[in-house]
Amino acid sequence: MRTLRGYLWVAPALVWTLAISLGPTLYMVVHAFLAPRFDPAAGRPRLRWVGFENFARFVADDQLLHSVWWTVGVACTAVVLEVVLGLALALAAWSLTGRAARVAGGLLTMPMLMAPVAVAYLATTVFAQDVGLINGSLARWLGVPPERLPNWRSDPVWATVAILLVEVWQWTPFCFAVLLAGLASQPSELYEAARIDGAAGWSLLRHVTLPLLRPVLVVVVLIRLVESLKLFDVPYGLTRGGPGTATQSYSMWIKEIGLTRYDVGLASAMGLLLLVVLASSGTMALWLSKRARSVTQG
Amino acid sequence: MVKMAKVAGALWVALLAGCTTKTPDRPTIRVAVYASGPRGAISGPLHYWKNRWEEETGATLEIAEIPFAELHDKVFADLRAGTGQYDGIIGPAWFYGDYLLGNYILPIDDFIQRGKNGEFPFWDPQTVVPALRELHRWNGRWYGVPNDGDAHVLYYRKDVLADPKWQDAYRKATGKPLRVPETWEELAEIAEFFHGKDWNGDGEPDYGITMHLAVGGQGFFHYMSLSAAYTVLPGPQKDRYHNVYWFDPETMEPLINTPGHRRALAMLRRLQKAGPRGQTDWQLKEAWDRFLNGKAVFCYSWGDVGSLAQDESQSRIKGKLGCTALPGTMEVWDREHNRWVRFERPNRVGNTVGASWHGVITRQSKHPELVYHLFAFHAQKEINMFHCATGWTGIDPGRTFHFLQPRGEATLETYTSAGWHPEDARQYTEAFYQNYYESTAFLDYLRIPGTMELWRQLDRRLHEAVVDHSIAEEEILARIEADWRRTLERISNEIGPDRLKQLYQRSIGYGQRVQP
Repeated sequence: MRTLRGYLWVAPALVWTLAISLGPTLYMVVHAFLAPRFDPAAGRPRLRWVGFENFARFVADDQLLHSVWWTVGVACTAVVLEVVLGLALALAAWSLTGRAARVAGGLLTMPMLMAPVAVAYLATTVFAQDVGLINGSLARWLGVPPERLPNWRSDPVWATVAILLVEVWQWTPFCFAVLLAGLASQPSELYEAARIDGAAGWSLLRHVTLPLLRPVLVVVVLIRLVESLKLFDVPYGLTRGGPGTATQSYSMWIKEIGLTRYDVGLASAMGLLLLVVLASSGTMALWLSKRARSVTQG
Repeated sequence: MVKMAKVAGALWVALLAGCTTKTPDRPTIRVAVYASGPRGAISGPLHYWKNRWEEETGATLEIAEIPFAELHDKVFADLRAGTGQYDGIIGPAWFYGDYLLGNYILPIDDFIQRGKNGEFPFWDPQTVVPALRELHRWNGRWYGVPNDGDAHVLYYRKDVLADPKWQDAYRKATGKPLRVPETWEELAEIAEFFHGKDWNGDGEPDYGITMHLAVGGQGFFHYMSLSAAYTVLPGPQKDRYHNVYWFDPETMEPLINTPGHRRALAMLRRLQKAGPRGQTDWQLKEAWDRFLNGKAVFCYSWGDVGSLAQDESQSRIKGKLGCTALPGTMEVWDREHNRWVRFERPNRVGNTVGASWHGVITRQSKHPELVYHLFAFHAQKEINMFHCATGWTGIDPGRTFHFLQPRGEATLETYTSAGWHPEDARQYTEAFYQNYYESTAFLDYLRIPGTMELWRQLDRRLHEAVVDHSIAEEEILARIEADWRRTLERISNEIGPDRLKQLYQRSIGYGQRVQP
């Protein structure tokens, strides 16, 4: 009776989770192997089993493959920069005390509270070619001639740099906040013991702080990596995937193929591949985190 | 604990009830429209007349504004899922292929007939210019209620081109007279001459031309209206080789990678060099603003520029605006004989590029008559004329009563009373008349399933062309052709190649005689 009651309590949550999570996932998996084909007898298209044809179309499309490498490159670069900067800021804030620490923490976490798409649209004013904050300042204060100003949204390299800058600006605070919490939870006795043993500065950081912080670092890196691989808002708002399709992220393609072209088969195949990568990353995150914790505790 | 849960539950229910409260017995319709706010293009007029229409009908109008980039996806997601969020859509004419393939919209011939009997506000189908009329119809039936008429015309600074100082300088520099350009070649020469010179006396170098070339900035319409003159061979009939632009109507082979297009793309790049470097990431407004602020000699775009030029809060060129139909070319590529055909007078091809935003009624609407009433209300002569003469509405000329007498029914006072400079109004309406009625041929409008996808592909490849001039024109056009082939193959697999060809032929009026 007690067991049945327990099941009843969790049933709504279970049904909800299955409805919004498992249902669409199953739909995606099935559709990754289907495609509409014209049926002359019926005079209309019917869904047919096409095996791996949707995956083959994905592999044969240069623009889609480019988006894979571009997204992975941007995600990895952004995560490295965010974690390094976030760690540096967290260490700096950790050394502060009282009101200064609270103010610094509050200010530094503000960017991540904003909607990414709003940040992207705001960034268009920063990176505009003639009158943007950066180019306008370069021209006015440093006298850089117009032809030498970076073409932020019409040059593939500069457009990628602009997206990276926005991503790093917005999500470094997340790394900072989590790492600061990790630092704050470290046992002070270990530091006192290390100092008695003569550790200080870099050696303290390398041999005490970072090993203790490793479980948190692993989680931060993998959470950010998983999020960055789904990159959508910033390129969508800032560059529209341009110039051409140079900054069109993998998720932007999935959305366009699924909703504009209504090519559900190809979009599902791409979604399935992304899901596999993200699920593997998540599993790896849990495993690494557990391993790091056991090493630290051991 | 249980008590707290009950209170929370009651609050939740009350909150939900509050959110969904509706006036009983008052029918409500929801119309999806391109988002630009209550005083912006296309959505603005809906807001402006909302109260009056609601008073007249006793119904409630909900305006669902959707950003341009999202419009297609949101509208068709709703139509495909059958969720019935929208009773009507004020959308672009390029949606028709997808509308009709899914049988998502209602024909309105019956409503038009009942409008003649006074059941609905009356608008006369004969007042829609023939080129635009076809964009509201399919297979002989009306589906769309006219609202906006889109076409590109050429705007220029008539005070600058008529200035004796600049006429002398131009003649000395080129050996040619400075005049309103009749060919794209002439336009490029004049734009290049003025580009980089301080011809407006503000102490800074100014531009020859401004264009909106950002990816997603509708720059591909610039290319379409320009390239038509190089590629559309005039003839008495719309046959395989004459008066067609997109695909071979017999084989559905893309016609994009032909010598006419190569020359046209080279011209687009040449014009781009006679404009600001940053225009490769400009949307409409940024390009228009530079022209309206007196920084560029030329701008070719929609009717909005002409009416916005009359608004002195955002324009410095009122009374200085010149306007004419788009230039042409002296040679056109003949695909049948694989040669250039030379003309004695420029081949000036008319166009209806753009959206020609107008209303259609969805099949899932529970109040189709009310939706038609709303669209017909906006299509009435007085209201549509008011929109056409008022800059912020985004409604451009496309009805016979927009043209000045004796071409149409409007008087100069109609425009001057709305704040127009009389000479600007005269040239503006004349340019649109020339475009619609006096062109040598007409650029056909693509309305097949997947048009949005085909145009996005065109847009992106053209952006590659304007940001990187090291890529040869042939290479860019080959990329577009490859993209289009893939898309057509996918659509053919889905609906059958014969059906696709049939839809294309129907949408362009294949085989029909072309009105002179």
